[in-house]
Amino acid sequence: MAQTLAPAEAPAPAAAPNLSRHVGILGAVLLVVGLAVFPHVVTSSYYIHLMVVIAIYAILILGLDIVVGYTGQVSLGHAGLFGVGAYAAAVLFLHFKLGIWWGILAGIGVTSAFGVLLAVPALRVTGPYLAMVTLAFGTIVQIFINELTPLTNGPLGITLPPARVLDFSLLGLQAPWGAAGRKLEFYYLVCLALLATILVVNRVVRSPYGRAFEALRDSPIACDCMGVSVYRYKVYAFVISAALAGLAGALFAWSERYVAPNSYGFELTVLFLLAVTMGGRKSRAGPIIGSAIIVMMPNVLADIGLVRIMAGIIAGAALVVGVLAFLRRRENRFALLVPVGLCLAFFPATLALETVTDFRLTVFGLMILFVVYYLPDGIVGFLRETIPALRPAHTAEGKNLHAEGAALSAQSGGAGADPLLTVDQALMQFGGLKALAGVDITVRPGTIHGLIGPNGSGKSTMMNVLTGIYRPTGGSVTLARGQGTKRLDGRTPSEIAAAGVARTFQNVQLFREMTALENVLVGLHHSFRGTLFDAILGTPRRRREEREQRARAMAILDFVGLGALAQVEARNLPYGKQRLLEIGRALALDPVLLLLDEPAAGLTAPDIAELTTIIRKIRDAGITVILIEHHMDVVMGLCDRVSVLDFGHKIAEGSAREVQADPKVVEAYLGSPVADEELTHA
Amino acid sequence: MAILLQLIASGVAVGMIYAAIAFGYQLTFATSKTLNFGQGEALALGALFGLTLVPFIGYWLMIPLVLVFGFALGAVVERLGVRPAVKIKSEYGWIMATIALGIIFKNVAENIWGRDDLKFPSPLPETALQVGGVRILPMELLIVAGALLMMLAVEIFNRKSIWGKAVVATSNDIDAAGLMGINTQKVITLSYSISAMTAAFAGVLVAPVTLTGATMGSVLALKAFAVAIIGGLESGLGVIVGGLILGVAETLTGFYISTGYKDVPGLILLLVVLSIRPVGLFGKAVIKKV
Amino acid sequence: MLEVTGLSAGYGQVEVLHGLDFQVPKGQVVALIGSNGAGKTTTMRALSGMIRPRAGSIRLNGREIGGLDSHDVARSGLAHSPEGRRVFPTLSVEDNLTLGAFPRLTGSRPKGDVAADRERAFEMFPRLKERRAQLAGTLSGGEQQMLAMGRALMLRPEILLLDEPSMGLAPKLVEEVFRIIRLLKAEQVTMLLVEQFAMAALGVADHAYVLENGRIRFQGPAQQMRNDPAVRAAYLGGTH
Repeated sequence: MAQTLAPAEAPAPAAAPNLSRHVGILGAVLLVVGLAVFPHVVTSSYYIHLMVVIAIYAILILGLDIVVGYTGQVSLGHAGLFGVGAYAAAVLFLHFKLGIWWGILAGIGVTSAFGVLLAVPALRVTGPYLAMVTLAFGTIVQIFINELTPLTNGPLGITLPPARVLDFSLLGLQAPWGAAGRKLEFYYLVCLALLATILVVNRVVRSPYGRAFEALRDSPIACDCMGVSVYRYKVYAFVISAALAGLAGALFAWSERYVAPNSYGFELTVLFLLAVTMGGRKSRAGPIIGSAIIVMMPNVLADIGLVRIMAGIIAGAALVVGVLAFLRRRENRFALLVPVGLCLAFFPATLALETVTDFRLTVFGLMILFVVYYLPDGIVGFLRETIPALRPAHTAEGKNLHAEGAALSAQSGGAGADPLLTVDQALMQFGGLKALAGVDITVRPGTIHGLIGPNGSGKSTMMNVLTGIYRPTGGSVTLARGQGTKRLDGRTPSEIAAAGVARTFQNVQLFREMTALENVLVGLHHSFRGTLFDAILGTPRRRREEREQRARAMAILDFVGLGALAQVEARNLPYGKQRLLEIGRALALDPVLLLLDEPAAGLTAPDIAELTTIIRKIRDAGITVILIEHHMDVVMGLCDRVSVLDFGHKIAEGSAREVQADPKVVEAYLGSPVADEELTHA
Repeated sequence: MAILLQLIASGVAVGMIYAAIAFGYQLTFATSKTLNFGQGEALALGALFGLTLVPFIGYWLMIPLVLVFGFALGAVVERLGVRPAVKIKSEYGWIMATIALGIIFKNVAENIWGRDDLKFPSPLPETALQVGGVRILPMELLIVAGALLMMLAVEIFNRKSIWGKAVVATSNDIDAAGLMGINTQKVITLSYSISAMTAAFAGVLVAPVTLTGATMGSVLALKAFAVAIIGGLESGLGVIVGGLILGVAETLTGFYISTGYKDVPGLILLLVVLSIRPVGLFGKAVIKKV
Repeated sequence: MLEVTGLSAGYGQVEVLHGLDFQVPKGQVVALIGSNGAGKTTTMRALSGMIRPRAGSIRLNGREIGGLDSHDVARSGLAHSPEGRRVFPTLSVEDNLTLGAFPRLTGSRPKGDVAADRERAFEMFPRLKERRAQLAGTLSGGEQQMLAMGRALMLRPEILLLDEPSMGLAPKLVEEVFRIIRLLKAEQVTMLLVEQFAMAALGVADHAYVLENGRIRFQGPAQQMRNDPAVRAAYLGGTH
């Protein structure tokens, strides 16, 4: 049975984190109240329409945030998805005279399908390639909309009548809120859609899906090795994002009552990107702020008086922020001069100009540049940094965390007679180079097996072959599982992880922007049975699973000694703790076999002592361990058996003591004296 | 049959323009793993700048000035768009930054030269030549010759001059290049300069056979992506092959299906190639190191 | 010639080197040995500017070069033949050698006769001469090592850093590499040699430092250290 330390309670939340949840709830309440009351305070239909557009764009940008903020990719095709949603609704009306509710359904459905289509070429590419793929997609959509005239009416576009949101005549009633109220039905529909979107995005982002999205941004390799298929979750991210874009599009069609092909082009896509980056990614407020900016901006820029006022406000704000930051910072203070200077210079520039409308796009371009360099986390990110109380509530922050249950599932351990892992004549060839030249290794269950050898001997190659990152050129890898055996060679890292083989990495591959707890939760992904709908609807099953898994994750964190650091972002952990966290995350897979790749690299002596204790406890729980390590003391102290590689061959095997004294091993490490006589290689 | 040959001939010229732009993408991607998403605007600015100069000094004398203009433009893009983004270690900030610069350039161009498309005077007679039943515009020949010549010139530079070799060395292994005493930052700036220069040159080549305006480059640049991907962002020969494939596919589509769909094959080709072979047809597969 | 005091360096959060002190006198070969992960390559990278030192000083002929970018370090006369060789695969053997002299050809170092130096390199490495027009990426491991060393020598450096020249090479080739190193030693080339294979390095060096966990464990004349059990313990554990 696994031993755990006494369950630790996370330290009682300090006042600041609690505030964050309260701020969130306060914000939500303000939003709801504000939206409800707005049209009665500002009765001009122009401004109500503006509000509707802001809300519609915000729906799309919240979805875009999932792709840009959470999975970390640049999508240049969202205007295309927006167009698909708009045209789905418009075409339904044009050909079947179906109204807004059908339009919304079609918008979501059709655009989601397009999201799947888009995900296919996007699966295996990242970065600039992905940006190009999405850009090509958006352009193709525009072209097809323009050309398929029988379906879409081509360049002429489609005109729609005013939306009929609620049809009281069906019930033989009169609208309870009178003619004036009827005009606002559409407004309130859009507001409801926005609030529903915020709720859905919130739920998705805090679910295993949201964690998977972040994981695949931070380290796709670790993701696959933890059994979270990068491909699958990329598709989910695109589909969810597309569905929201489709909803926004359908609403937009009925809002503007006119759709035309050239409104959904590159310029709009860039505006959406500007909104999500300027507002602030990974937040709900950010997209709303960003949406407001991009909708209001053209109106502001059209009036030079307003521009000057805005420039004045920006200059004033920049001055205040700049002075505060200057006083607070220690190093690199003069770097502040540039952004502050730019903001200040903007004001007199606007005084000199008579009109800015022609340079509207230049202003947008400059805004993008400014955001990329000086506000990479957007306005919301900037506020979060300066006001700690606004920091995001990581999952479970503010709630008392306690560990429950065993950290490790007991494995049928004990030194059994049959080997757990059999590597038979493993051959790995890269072009002409034989990194592994036919290696045999058998690992007994419940043991710690060391794999050592000088640089270039093939240890890391063996590690990558065992975990499916390389497909061996020849030979086989077999894992004994339950009654039968399972061939591992040729399987994907995800499949191997599912089979019960977990690993850590030579260069730490943590999910840097997620907390320690969340990192372990990703490792526990395999135990979540709930579907996406469970996540969105917040079903009892979903809530129960989250609770149970969090408790289990805490138990694992306690096991590796990180219980008190559960809420710290992985990138802020000290190096030694990062290595332990990687081990914890790997344990979450409930593995039968744990592969540790140089776990002691870069660790100080006290950290190493802690590490060896934990590895022993893991072995005592019945989990078999394969250890690649250079620290000989660690190897000697821990390993039951050691295999030594050199030039892709196994040159020795035995107990640690035997291997340490083996002259072949000594020669492999130290080399032989290079003399004038010929050398023979063992 | 004659029509087919005609279409192929026209496609070749267009394809060489794509190849020339894609060549520029390759150059910067090889040295810095980044490229200019505003390359189309560099092309447009080159054409517009050239247009302004032509009445004063004629087409042929205008060319070297446009080359210098493009060279300087590239340095500006690198300095303002790429270098700061790389310095703050933003993963894809350079994508947004080069897009932003592209937008700014396009807007400024619209304000200087207006939003209407302009006619670029052709330096060569505008009557078509008859070559074996196929009608070819002299300008189209110039396009093919010019594009090939320019790519050849850069290749020669890369092979013969010490700075060219430094560029290749930086593309191969940026760390080792630094150890040789090569200022790799300067090399990256140089590659951006050459890249924008080739785009500007492509602009004055293609301008006489198409409409010249601030927006002329956007779609060209996007399709040149397709060519660069197909050809592999690291290989030289691939872009020419890719450009020819795309150019011919387009003219064929434009004739046999419809002019509206002309742009589609390139984009679909891009999506298909990336779905199957993410490194492009000519690219090298990368061995993962963990 | 090369004086290093209190050198500390690392990657990200990890500090790999903790205050190293060592010297490489002019005309001598100094070896830096130790097991993998001890910090040998990190030391080389800190010296040649590939990474920035966090503390300490690096003086080449009295001039401080710590913290300079690698191209400036090369211009100061420090040539680094890196771990893994890292020749330029799409350039010819001849071009690789020429690039080694880049600072001489672009005015940062006295020019001398580059072509003549290239021919001398071909004398020293006849196998490269046979393949002078071949692309460096098609050479075998041993040939690439020769090329990397020849390329570094083209700088006419004050000091030559050799980073794990034997890595990945079959014993026959290791022998050849060390024969070349002995030749260079005879020509009074100042060298700092980092090697995982201690025996080979100790056979050719004048003085040696043993690195362990980012610190210098001990040092001494190379001859004396060849049979010292402490060296073996540094690699394979056991009592020191």
